[in-house]
Amino acid sequence: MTTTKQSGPGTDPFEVWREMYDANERTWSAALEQAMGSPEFGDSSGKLLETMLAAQKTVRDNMRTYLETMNVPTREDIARLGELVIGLEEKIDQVADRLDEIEEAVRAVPGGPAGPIGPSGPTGAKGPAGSVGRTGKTGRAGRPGPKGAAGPKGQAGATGPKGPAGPKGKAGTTGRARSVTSAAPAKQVVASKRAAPSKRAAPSTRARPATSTRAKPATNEPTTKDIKPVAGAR
Amino acid sequence: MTTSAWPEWPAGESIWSSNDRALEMAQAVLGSSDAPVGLTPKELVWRKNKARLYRYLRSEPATHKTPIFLVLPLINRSYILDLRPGASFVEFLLSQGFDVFLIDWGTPGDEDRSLDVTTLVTRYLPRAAKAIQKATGETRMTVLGYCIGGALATCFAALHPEVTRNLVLLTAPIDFADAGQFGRMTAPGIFPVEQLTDTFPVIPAQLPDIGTKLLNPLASYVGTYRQLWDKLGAENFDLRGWQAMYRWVNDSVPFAGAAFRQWIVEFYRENRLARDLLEMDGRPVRLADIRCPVLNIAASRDQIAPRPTTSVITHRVGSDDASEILVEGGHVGIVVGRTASQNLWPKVGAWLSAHD
Repeated sequence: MTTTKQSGPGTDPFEVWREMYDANERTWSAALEQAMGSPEFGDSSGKLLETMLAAQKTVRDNMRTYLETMNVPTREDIARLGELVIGLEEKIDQVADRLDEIEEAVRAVPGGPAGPIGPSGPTGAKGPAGSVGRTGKTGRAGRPGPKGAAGPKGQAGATGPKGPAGPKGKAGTTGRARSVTSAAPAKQVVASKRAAPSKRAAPSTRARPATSTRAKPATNEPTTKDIKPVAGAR
Repeated sequence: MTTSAWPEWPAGESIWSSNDRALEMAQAVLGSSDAPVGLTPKELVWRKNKARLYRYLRSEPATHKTPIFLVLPLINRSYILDLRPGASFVEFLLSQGFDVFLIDWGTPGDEDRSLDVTTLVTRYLPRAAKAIQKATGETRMTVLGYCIGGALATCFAALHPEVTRNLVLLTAPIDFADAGQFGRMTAPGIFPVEQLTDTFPVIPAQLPDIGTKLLNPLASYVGTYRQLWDKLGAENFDLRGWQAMYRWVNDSVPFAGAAFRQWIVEFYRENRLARDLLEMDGRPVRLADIRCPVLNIAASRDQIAPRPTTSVITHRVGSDDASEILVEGGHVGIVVGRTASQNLWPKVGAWLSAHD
């Protein structure tokens, strides 16, 4: 800055630019603001934009026609695929929301599972039945499992300690186990139904339920039907 | 060899100094795209489509129980609130003991043409909030929205009072009855919004960017460089800081077509939010339904969200605890400017602590 001051106006183009801007900035800004605030500017800029959009649309339409003729997927085709994926993701989210609601409803039942007991699911993480894997995973949250012992059958409590096996579970777990409001109860209910065989198998056979769930995946699927009787029993 | 066809260039040391300065300026501008930004460590907590919810990592547990949910604008990169170390609102909140979450809307593509504001408020924000609940164990949170994100946060707070512990708005336009130059630029008969969204599934980032810069064209297109010229000669000029800000200003995000149309038509033109005429998923969005404590932060020289658009919220919410901080400055400057860390952030931090 000091160096630029040494040169007089006219000898340094950057100095000229700087001085010109400083001298006129306010005037020009005011003039621009006034011009751009006028209805005429609005009209003309709107028409200009409309014209540009019409030209752009023509280019896009022609390109689409050309690509379709050449049997090449158009941008719209790709976007449509993307929309399908987004739609599927939304449906999955809705199912997850619904599951959360069901779990909350189950938890709200008087005498129902006391909060985060549920995830006691033993192992079974690798089982094809996603539910097993999930419960296994949530097993971490199963720490509070002991509360489950208060349950009528006390099975959930028993299975609680097996939680550690959960980590084997596929992503299924979804980190739901971490949530306090988690879905544990519903899972617990499901787990408690499954708990019987694993209880028979004794703690030393942690891995066995996984194989058994592979063999009988259908029986391990958590359904509303599964949930109702147990909840009701409580 | 003895004579040149070129006009004689003025001799002297000063011209070379100016040339050097001009080269420095060019390097500063061209190098801004690599300026490090958003450096505070964070983890991904939840995702949906392009949206990502991040939780900023803390070295020690939060001392405040109420988590903070930052809702960013749709047309800007989210790192504005975590610009760089020492100039990061997020960093400040973490230092004050808050658990901070931020939703980054990502960059929409053509497949997001039907993604509107309603979907963002009713499908994205609630699920992100649920993810925060699960991550923290806290049912309620402070929702803090910036600019358009503030309008979204307001709608969310009105629809989900059970989740919103506090609502904090940073230069958030709510009442568009007098929206200034933006209002005139987007008026019916002038701005062909339908034709625009029919042509572009996703509104190119340049369009809103040009609209913003046209609010003060001379300052935007010339004044920025004029100021840089002087700053480059200053002793303690923070070049990386300038580059980070320059990068953010020129790093706009496309606007999903449906969201843009709804924003222009329902918010700007019809002013539905302030008139209590806005509906989302069949549910009315009423400002009076916001009963949690509200802090409204407005900028006195804001051209993007002029004062009339930001001043209404404190009078219209149903909360008895609604206050406002009016800061001298512009739309962005009050949030990340040099004085923000000394002036605004401590006030916000104190308010949040008092409403934990």
